Amino acid sequence: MIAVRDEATAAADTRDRFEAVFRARYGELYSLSYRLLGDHGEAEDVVQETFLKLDGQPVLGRPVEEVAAWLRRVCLNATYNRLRGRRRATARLDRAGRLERADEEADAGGGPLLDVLRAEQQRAVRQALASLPQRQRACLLLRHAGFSYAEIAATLDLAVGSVGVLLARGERAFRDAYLDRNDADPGADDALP
Amino acid sequence: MPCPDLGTLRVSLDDDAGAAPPRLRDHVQACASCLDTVAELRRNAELAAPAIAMTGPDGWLSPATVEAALTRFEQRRARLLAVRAATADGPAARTADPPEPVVPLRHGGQLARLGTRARSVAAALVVVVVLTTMIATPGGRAAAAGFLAHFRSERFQVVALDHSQAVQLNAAMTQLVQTGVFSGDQRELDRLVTPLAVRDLAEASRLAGFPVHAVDRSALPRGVGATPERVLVNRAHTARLTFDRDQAIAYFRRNGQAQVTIPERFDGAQLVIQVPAIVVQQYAGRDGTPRLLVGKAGTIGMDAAGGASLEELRELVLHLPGLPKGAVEQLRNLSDWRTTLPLPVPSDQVRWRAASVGGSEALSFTDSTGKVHALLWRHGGYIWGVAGVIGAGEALDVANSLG
Repeated sequence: MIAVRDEATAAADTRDRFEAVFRARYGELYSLSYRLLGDHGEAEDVVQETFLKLDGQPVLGRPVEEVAAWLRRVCLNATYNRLRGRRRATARLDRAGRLERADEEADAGGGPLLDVLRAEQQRAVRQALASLPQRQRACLLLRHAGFSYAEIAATLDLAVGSVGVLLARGERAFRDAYLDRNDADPGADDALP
Repeated sequence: MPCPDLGTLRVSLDDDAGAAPPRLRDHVQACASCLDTVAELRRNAELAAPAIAMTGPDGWLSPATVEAALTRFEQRRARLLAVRAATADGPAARTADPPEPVVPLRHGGQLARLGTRARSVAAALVVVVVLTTMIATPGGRAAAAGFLAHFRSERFQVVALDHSQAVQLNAAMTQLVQTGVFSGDQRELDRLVTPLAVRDLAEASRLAGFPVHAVDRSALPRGVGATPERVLVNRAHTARLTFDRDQAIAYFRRNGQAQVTIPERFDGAQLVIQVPAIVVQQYAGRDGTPRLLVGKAGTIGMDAAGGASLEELRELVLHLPGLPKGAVEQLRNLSDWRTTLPLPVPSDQVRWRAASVGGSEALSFTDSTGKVHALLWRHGGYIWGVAGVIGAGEALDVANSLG
């Protein structure tokens, strides 16, 4: 009888811990995934997949920083998989298709001005990010989403000392890809003071 | 000391990595090569930071949103377990996803997570709020409606909102709609946020009731198509928002203000907005994506109907709990709220300054990446706007070629 109660208690503790981790980490994982996918529904789906993988994993019993790093790693991989699947699907789209999507975005918001431009800028950033090697991309994304060097190192399974050089290379590659896509930096010479 | 490696120099740019050791600092200051490298690293980081920040979701996820996500997760998990149980010990079942798709989040920020109807009402409310200098929001879809409203005033004044103020404002706006304090006719309100795509500028001119011309080819930025690839029109019309006194009192009470008194005559009072015609030309870049937008609009009118005046409704809304104090203060300080349109500008994302277009006073805006520029000015009885992924000088060239 006691054993049964203990098992039930342990299960409840595990459940409570899982929910606490979910509440604590959902926002940052969602934000990470959304930054690459640009779609709320897909980002939520990826984060749910991530937590489904955590369910029942021994890592749940590890210190919170380890659990967080594990979740970020799984979430980024799931996001990359989603991007690869999407790339295959969109490879067939021709120029008209791309225009149609832009139209849909404009219509969805009803605001044809800043919304369209913002969507276009976001797309340019995501395309530039997508062109980077996977680890550089993850490093850049994590750093500019506010994670510390130690958290990035834990997520990417790197020595902390290696994060700086990965970040430097990622930022340089991002700049090249981002500016290259826009032909030239239109605001570089005559930005407002 | 030998030159430090690239990673060490990059880490030295970040505060949270700890202050750079004095030896490193001294070396970098004295080494031309390291100075060049650090300058390049800084430029790269300063480009990446705002660009990547722009890809994040609007606002933060509230605890209620996370709880809802947890509920959806539990439902999905339960379905998955049911599938596994139904297929006994089949190994495939252990890795199979649940058969039903996860319930997707609605698009956008808090306002956008409302249903279509509520979203229209919220967007209309934003327009009204902007016009009466009550409140406005730079977030999500509400910002779109707010920007449309930029074309509808006698003069402009920037109301700077930081991120927390924007989030707070968005939340307050959402509550006003969700609780039914303001509501409106669906068809009228839809028209506020649903521009009509038309065949060409001739049709746009006919529907708008004023002439609209393409941008002179010589004034267009390099790489922008010579003719608009898309023309959007909002026809002039009237929209009404109805105030519900009981819901407003309940709203005040829920937010800790039980002693509020609202005269009974306010119940059913309406804000009546005369929305002007608006025409937006969209020009594409070489890759077919939107690069330049040019807008022209008439002037707007607004009044109140029923038992409350426009001024009374404005005062009431300015007293609503939950609005950011800084924004309310800026709105109260406008010298002539009946003719001055406050532009809600996210101060952490957009810079602005006074400018001049053909001798008319204008406002010039630049986003945090320095790549998007916009101009807004009034001339010849119309409000004009130019915005695009273009330089400030290019925006000015386009603006000066209009009207």
